Amino acid sequence: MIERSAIVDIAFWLIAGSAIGTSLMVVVLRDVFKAALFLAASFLAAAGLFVLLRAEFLAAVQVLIYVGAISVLIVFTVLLVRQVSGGNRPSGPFYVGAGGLAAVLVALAIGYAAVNTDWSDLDAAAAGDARLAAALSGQYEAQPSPGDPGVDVITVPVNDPERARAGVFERTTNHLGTLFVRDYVLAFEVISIVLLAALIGALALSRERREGDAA
Amino acid sequence: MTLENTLLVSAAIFGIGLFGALSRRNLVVVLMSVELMFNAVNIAAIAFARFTVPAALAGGPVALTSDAVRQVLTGQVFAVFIIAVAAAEITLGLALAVAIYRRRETAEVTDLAAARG
Repeated sequence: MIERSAIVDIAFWLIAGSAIGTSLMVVVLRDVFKAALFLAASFLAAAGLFVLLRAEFLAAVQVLIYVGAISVLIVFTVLLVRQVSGGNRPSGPFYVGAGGLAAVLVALAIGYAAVNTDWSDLDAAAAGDARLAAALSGQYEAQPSPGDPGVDVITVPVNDPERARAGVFERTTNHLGTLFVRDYVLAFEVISIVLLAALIGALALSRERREGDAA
Repeated sequence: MTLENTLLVSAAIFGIGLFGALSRRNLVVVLMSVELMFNAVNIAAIAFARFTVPAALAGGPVALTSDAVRQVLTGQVFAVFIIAVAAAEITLGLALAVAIYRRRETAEVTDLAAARG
């Protein structure tokens, strides 16, 4: 099972606080360039949250794509669009009031639903269920099912690391890789076409048009 | 660190992004706020993957089947696709911002609304 210790809690609140703080800076800072840098910091904090939530692969993807690529793209655009300092002004008092009200109401609605719903908690369930805990932590002995090689039949929870299998959250990257080429292969292929279309669209949109160009 | 706390953090970031997208004047800042909202959704999806009991594992698992693994990791798979779609969206959005700036010499939403037509 995943450790639920004080250190994890402290790390969670530190990272969550910095994520919220940097996100706030993105919106309130006047300088668009600094806002873009704080956006990168916010993405990095989200990657930290992903690690705490046992999504190591997604944390790496987050750092590579968001911090590495998207932030750089945004910084380039900020420099191209040249409205850097003092560029991040509000649209007007009406927009600030209405936007703030809408944002607060939506956040309160989500928060209310999050707090008042009786979620089935994986950790709490695992605490009362030795085999669920074993499936998560890998402290179990298992035999491959004769019919399906992907199936581990959990027999006895063991504490011997030599015999224990890796739990669900201990090899998420392997599992995700398998899922993308098996269960979600169609969506995986479609998303690559979406990305190709976005690439071509971005090239077509940002192409410099000269006098006498047909298009 | 519980599901509720993580969802509250996600809701806070989503609210900040929504406020930025609705109230800011600069097109690039609006796009950055939309990215914040995408990020908040990713945090929520991964938190659900981490904390909720999938049906295949509920009530005493005997086998860690591939189906059970799929159900546990559905949130993470969703997050990967959301990241890919968000990357496509920000690419097109920024290209649009640059194209609009070239034509109109402005990247401010209010000016674009005034110059409509």
